[in-house]
Amino acid sequence: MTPSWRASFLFTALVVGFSLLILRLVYWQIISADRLGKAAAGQHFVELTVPASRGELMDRGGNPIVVNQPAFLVYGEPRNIKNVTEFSKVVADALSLDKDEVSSKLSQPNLVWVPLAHKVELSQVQSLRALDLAGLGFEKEPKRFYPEASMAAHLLGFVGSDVNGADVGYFGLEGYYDRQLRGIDGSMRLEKDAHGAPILIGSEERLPPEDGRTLTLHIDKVAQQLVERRLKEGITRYGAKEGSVVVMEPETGGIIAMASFPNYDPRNYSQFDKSLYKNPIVGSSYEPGSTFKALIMAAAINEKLITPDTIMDESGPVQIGPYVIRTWNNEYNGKISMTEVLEHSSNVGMVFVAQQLGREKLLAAIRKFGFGKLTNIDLEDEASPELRPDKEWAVVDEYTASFGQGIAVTPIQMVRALAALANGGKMMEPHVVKEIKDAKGKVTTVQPKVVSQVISPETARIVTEMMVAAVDNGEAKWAKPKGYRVAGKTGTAQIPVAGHYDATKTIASFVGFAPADKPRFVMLVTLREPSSSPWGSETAAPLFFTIARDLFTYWGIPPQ
Amino acid sequence: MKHIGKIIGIMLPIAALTMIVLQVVVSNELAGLGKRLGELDREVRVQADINEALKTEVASASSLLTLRERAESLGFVEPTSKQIMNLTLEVPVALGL
Repeated sequence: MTPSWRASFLFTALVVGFSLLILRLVYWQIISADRLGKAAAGQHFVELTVPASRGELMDRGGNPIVVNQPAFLVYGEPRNIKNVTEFSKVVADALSLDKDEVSSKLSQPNLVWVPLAHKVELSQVQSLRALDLAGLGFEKEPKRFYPEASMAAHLLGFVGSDVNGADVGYFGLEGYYDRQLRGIDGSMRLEKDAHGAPILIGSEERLPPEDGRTLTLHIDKVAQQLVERRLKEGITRYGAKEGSVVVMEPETGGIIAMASFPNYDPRNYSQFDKSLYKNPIVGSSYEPGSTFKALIMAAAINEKLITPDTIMDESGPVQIGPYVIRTWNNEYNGKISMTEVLEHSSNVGMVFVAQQLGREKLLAAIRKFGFGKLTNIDLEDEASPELRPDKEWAVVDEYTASFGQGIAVTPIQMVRALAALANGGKMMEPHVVKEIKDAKGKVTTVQPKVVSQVISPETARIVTEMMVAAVDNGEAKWAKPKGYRVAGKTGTAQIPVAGHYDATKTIASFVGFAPADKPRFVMLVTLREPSSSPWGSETAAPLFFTIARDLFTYWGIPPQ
Repeated sequence: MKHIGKIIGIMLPIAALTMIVLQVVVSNELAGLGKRLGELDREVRVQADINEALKTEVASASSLLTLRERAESLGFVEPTSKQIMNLTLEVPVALGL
């Protein structure tokens, strides 16, 4: 080997060596820069997500209705588990899981992180922590706690998961206020030493979470509880398929109580039929029947077309083209006043009122009372049945609408319209939430909103007296609490089935407010297909008065 | 001048040695504090969880369901409407002159 050959060999080896070195550096610095950067960050930094607490729901007295309880995602890290079989047995026993399923999850190749159970309660996590199992980890994943179990389920909605497994509110308040309730997660990034402990003088980034807003509701927990209990009893007593009650404060539009059965349990919502999730008080329609008469009567009095003493002749059925309109019991009382029309709940009498109003004013009144459009209540599931365009109303439709048949409304629309008779003619926007408190403690009050003045205060006062008379002298007078002035109206509507009205199935209802002179509440009770009696006066009305009696006692309202 | 150079020659190694010892002590102290900080962070999270769990317990213990159960177990019953008496604003007869 000559010296020149050796020099060439050494030179070539150096060039090749440096080239390989440069290529390797290119690979590290450019091609793998992201991956290595993240790996380095993983070794130098500890990163934690600090979840925001979901906002809580309180009743009007500040009592909790929905709060959070600590819960955790339990996960396994297969690389750190020494004996998968033993590990699976211990974890499965503690969490009541299937041992084989846990074992098969952990045995899948190339997995570094395996979720084993979601929303595990603190007590179970504490017992697992005490075992100090290598490869078992916990991550905060709070869940909702309902101190009153399934109370007000339709109103509250529930918290489920989206496609990424994050909490999302569905239906009711949880759905409507989801963005305000969920808050914003925070994060923590600390430089750590070789043992994983944070370095005190190292870099540190802490972004605190912004907790969700707390909602204070108009709901009164005690009133809600007694309404639910009485409604359950009523459904059983009268053999109804479904039932609902809504109680509203007429001056503010605040919802004091709202209940409907059958319902579901928000703690185990997935075990219930999905059709039960919708709140029928805001999302389902029904024909209001005779409860509607008070509103049409109010519209005619407001237009000064009739007075409570106006006399009409109820001498027999009314023939409208091929249709015959009769009274509910096919009995006729001759000459009767408008007050007596309400007392007897006369359909024939209401045809007279509709004739006085005329088509234009009748349809305008129905719209002014808010039917055919959303009330804008702060609940996610609200829907409104549409009113037919004016030109599609036949004459018989106008007359039947005057006594609440052939027109569909939601219970919330009905109770809001009645509240206008109780509060001097103001149409209020119904609200469930009274105050919203943010994470910094700033409170925003939801102000009562007057949508319109639908009738004059004088008309409201006159119709109130007529409704008091309808209660005192009507079919349901036997059930009324003695000594109280209650304004109300019964309703019994047939149910449309496949294009005709079913002869036996009815929706019985009663709507009213009390005390009539200074109403504290307006309430609507509906019972679907009661089997003990089809009439509202024998089912919904006594249930209304039972609840009213409880409310009088609870609020300390003495008889007048 | 030579004397000053000699002093510097002695002082510099002493100062360097002192600084090294100081750095070891401070680093050791900081490493310990880092561990303590980690423990405190964990403790804060545990206490927050316990606090939340206690809040849940209070909500549960003061719920209407619990109160009703407890009242019933103590023998309380619901009054019927006839058992409820309302006081009026009128002056009772016995107090009239």
